[in-house]
Amino acid sequence: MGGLMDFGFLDDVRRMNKRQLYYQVLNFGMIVSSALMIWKGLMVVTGSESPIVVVLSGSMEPAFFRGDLLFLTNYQEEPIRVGDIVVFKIEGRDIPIVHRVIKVHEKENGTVKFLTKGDNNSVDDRGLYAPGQLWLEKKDVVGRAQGFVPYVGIVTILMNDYPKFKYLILACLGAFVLIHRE
Amino acid sequence: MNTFLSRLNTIFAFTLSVMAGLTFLCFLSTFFNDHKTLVSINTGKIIVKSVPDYSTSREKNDLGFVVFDVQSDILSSLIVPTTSLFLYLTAEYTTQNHKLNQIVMWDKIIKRGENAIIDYKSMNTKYYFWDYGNGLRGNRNVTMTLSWNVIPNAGTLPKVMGEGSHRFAFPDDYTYFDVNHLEFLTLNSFPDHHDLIQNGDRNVNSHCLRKVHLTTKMSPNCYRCLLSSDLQAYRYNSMRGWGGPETQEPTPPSTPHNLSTPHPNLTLGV
Repeated sequence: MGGLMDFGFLDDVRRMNKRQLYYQVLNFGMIVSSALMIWKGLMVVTGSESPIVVVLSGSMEPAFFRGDLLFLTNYQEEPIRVGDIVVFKIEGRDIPIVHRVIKVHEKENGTVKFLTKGDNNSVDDRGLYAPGQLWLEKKDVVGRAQGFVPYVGIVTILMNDYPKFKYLILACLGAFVLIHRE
Repeated sequence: MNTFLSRLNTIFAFTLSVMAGLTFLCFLSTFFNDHKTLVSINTGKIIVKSVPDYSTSREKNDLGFVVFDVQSDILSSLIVPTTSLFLYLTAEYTTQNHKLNQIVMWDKIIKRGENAIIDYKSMNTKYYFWDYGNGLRGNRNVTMTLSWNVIPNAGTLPKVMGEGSHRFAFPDDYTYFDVNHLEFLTLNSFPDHHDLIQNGDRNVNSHCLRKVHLTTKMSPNCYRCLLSSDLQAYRYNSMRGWGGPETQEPTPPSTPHNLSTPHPNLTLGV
């Protein structure tokens, strides 16, 4: 069976002339660049630096589980209120956190200080913030969860946990696009 | 090109599109949900203390204690059952320094299949009611609302505010408890309840607590320290100057009590 498959692939490539080979490479580039365009386009539309994030921890169970995909927006004119699910970044930490706002103190001039807590955690997030940091501010917010799709992000988690798996998938996809002929 | 791979590919693609379609239907089913529900909220005893918040700074901040009732039938408003609901009770008020303050006093997660009828009496706040500063004392206008975040199977995450709010005022004076007197009171003046203290069981029945409450006229926060397991914590807290709200569930039922008629032995200072 394996021999047959190899033969099929090779046959495809063998039948290509130079022109078709260039075409395949360009096709590959096209896919990569359109993915990039969609991502950057979403960034513009949602105003968030990462409009789609994957939930990595169980701290928001039973709302979000590991591997759920969240869609974020970050419109500046939209005020932060209690009950919002925000994604925020802490200085000195690479991975953003998804938690719920439980306290808001807003001044007349619009500056806002707020505190978050994971639904599944028993204490608020002050222990997670940078040392000495008691409140989050608007600049810390990456986005606010507007919608979610369950399970879809599990692929990303697998890729993060097993880097070899990631390279394998990337290599397979790349090879498939390059070799496969329409 | 009917190779094994291409068939596998077709099946995979078809499965994916079916799943995507179903997910989209899930999203549609909850998108048009009308979530409006009536909520009734009431408050019992309300006090405010001025104590240092050691979790933030050593400055004295206002700490409110509110006993509340909340009632609502949320499930009846949901056409399509959702994965879970996140309910939260918000207190909103204005202070001199801050135009808008919102504090979650209590929250609850209702999972699918669980009873979604909310009917709680004389609840203590789940989280500390700390103000950012000293804006609670004499605050005439604190609005309590119940809201919930609907978590569907997939799709948008609407936040719904229940119809009906409750407005209350904080007293004009700070309340202080003299804990030494309180211990003296509970241990010596009421030998009937020694069993309760000896028992030290967290699940002490409400009848017992109610009896203590009626005889001592103590606030729920106060008499909870009768449980010896809590006594230690209460002593510790009292050294810092506060009792602290109940973070453990379940909260024993009690009737809110008016502090203006304290027991003679219970020292209340202003």
